[in-house]
Parts: sequence; C-alpha cells; structure tokens
Amino acid sequence: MKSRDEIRDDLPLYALGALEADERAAVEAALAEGDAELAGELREWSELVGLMALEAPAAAPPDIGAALLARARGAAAPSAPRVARRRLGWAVPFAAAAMALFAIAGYREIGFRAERARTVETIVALRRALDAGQNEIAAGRAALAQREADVGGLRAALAQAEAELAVVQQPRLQMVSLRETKDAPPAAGHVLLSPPTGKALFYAFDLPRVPDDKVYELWWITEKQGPVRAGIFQPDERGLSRVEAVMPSDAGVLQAAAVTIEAAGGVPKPAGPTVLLGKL
Amino acid sequence: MAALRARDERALARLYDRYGNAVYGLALRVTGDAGAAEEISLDTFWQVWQQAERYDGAQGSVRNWLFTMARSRAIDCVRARAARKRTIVDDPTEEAAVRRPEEAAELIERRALVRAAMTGLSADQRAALALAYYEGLSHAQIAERLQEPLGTVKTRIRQAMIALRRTLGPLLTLS
Repeated sequence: MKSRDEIRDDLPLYALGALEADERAAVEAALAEGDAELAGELREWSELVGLMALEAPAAAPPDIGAALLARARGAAAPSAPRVARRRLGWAVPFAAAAMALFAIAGYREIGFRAERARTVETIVALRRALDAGQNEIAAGRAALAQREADVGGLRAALAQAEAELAVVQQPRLQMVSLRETKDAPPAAGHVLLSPPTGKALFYAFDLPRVPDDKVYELWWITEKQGPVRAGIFQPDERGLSRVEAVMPSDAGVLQAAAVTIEAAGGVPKPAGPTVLLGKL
Repeated sequence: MAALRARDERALARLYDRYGNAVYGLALRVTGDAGAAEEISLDTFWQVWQQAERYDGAQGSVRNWLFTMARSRAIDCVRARAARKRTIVDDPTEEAAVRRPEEAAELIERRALVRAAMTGLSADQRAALALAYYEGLSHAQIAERLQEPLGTVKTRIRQAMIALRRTLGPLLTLS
C-alpha cells in the first residue's frame, strides 16, 4: 500500500503513461477516493504532457483539413486523406475553397501572431539572460559569504595570537610540562605562567576527544585550597587543546596543574580520572 | 468548445487551424510514417467533433484532450505495426512548419518555450522522456532499453517532468 506522498511522486509518470499496471491501479484507487488536491496535481501534469506535443510540429498536408470538413458536413468519410483524394473528386475544389478560407482567416491574424511570436522569442532570450544573471549573483554572494567567513576566522585567530603574545612577552615567564598519568592514553601538555599578570596559557597535545556528555577540566593544585578550577575544554580535530586561564591569587603557592575528565559543563571539585599532571 | 458541441463547422476549422500541424507533427514523430500521421490527424479531429459533448473541461484543456487522443492513437498504431521498421523523424524543420503561414507564428511562440524547456534537460532526461512520450514505454521498459536501474530511470523521468513544469508553468494556464 503506497503512501499519499508516494502516490504524488507517481503522478507525473502516471500522466506520462509510464507507470506499470499495479502502480497505475494504485494511483487510480487514490484518485477514486476523491482527493481533490491529487486530482488537481494530475490535471497539471497532464497539461504538461500535452504541451510536449508542441516540441515537433510539422506541416500537415492540406487535404487533411478539407477531408475533415467534408466528413463533418456528412460527406462520405474517407479512412485516410489519400483515399479521399481518389474517391471524392468533387471534394477537391471544395478543399481548395476551404483552404482558401483558412488562409484568409489566418492572414488577418498573421501580423499580430508574428509580432507575438517575436515578443515570445524575446521573452525566452531575456528569461535565459535573467537566469544566467541570477546564477552569477548567487555565485558572487556565495563567494562573498566565504570571504567574510574567512576574514572572521582570521580576525579570531589574530585576537588569539595577540592574547598569547601578551602572555609570553611578560618577564618572569614560567613554563610547566604535564605528562600523562599511569593508565591514561599517551598525551602531553604545558602551561605558560605569567605571575606579574596572573594569566596563564595551557596547551595539550594528543588528548583523545571525550563523549559529548564529558569534558576535560584543567585544575590548579594549590597550597591552601587544594584543587581550583582553571577551565574546561575539548581537543580540536587536530588533537590540540588550549585554555586561557587565570592564576588563583589567594590560594597560596601553586603546586601542580592537572587535567581530569568530568561531566559536561565541569564540576566544582575533581571527581573523574586524572589524565595529565605536572608539578610546578 | 460550446461551438463544437453545437456542431459549428467553423469551430472545427478553427481548432484544426490552431492545432493541425502540432497533431500531425506529434503523430509523425511517433509513427515515423507520413500516411499514418495523416490518418491519425484526421481521425483525432473527427473524434473531437463526434465526442465534443463528452468533453469535460474540469479534466483539462481542449488542447490536452486533443493531444492525448492523438498520442494514444499514434502509439497504438506503432504497437500494431511492431514488426515494421520505424524511422523516427527527429527534427521536422521550421521550413516545413511555415508552409501553413497562418499557423506558423502560433507554432513558433509555443515551440520556442517548449524547446527551451527541453534543451534545459540533461541528455539522459530527454532520452528517458522521449521513450516514455513518443514510444509509450513504461519506466520498467525504459530501464530495460537503456540498461539502467529501474529507480534511476523513474527518478530521471520525474525530475525531467518537474524541470519542465518549472519552465513551462505559464503555458499551463493557457488554453
């Protein structure tokens, strides 16, 4: 049993006569239920199929029109125009007269139609030019958006680099290395400390990403307050982790820096496994 | 259509004047046989004349009714003559079309739009559509003919039809 959406998808092929018997039956069963929207869509598809006949018009022999009119007037109906030419000798002058009438009527309109045809051809050309122009505008907008994104990224990178430079340009800079703890995957990190400014930069390398409900948390191990939160982070796609931290001012001597795995958002005190540790 | 129902021969003449070449061109394209195309054209218009009172405007335009009958007759004709080698007329010339000058402009304006829409399709889409429209093949038969997966052919035809509707939308509202 096909869904309504599947039936809708089949409508263009139904209008074209390109469905298999069982698919046709399914469409007809759906239409028989009185779905006006489906029926309306089918009408539109059918009209489209009808238009395809206009793709390749060819000049019909003039005797078809005459034979048709002869039939309509109750004359002996020929099975084909060529037969009509043989059997209906009297129809030949009639045919000529009929075609003359067609021509006279047609020539009255030909000026208008020719003008209209030229207008339509112009419209077609303009429509193509418009499509091409719109495509170029869309491509230009996409390129501009990409450039703006690139500039935004560069500005962010520049701001980060300036912040890092501000730390490393301070006198009395200290650097502490961190190593993986026992049973933790191989990784390394270091902390750059600037005591005059109280700022610190932490970097870690090769830490694996943790699940979405987990996060890495950096801790200062202090003399007076024990572990103090320094920031949470996730490694980027290159395995690089970075935290801009502030050194605690009233916790006494900084004894060590450590990284643990905690619940997403971080925790007040470390509860998860320690993966990196470095003594200051 | 009311004039046709009232058995007004002038209405029949106008209808033929408007669509005679298109019906003949369609029949010629499908059958590849000028004699058969003449016969189909004549019989199609004759059927319209005889069955005008059965025409239901809610089901679609007169043009579509006419073309549907012509196409159906042409495909039946080809099937009945399946043993005969068929030659497809790929591109009847404009020169042929202008032999009836009163109809030429009408053909040119519509044909310009239909052709523009057709040329906007990919070659694969046009091929699949032509097999369905001019040869009356189902998508399974087309898949077999083109040696392509069934789903691919079905999707290709659907996408071609959607593309045509996008381009030819304005003509769908015209009679």
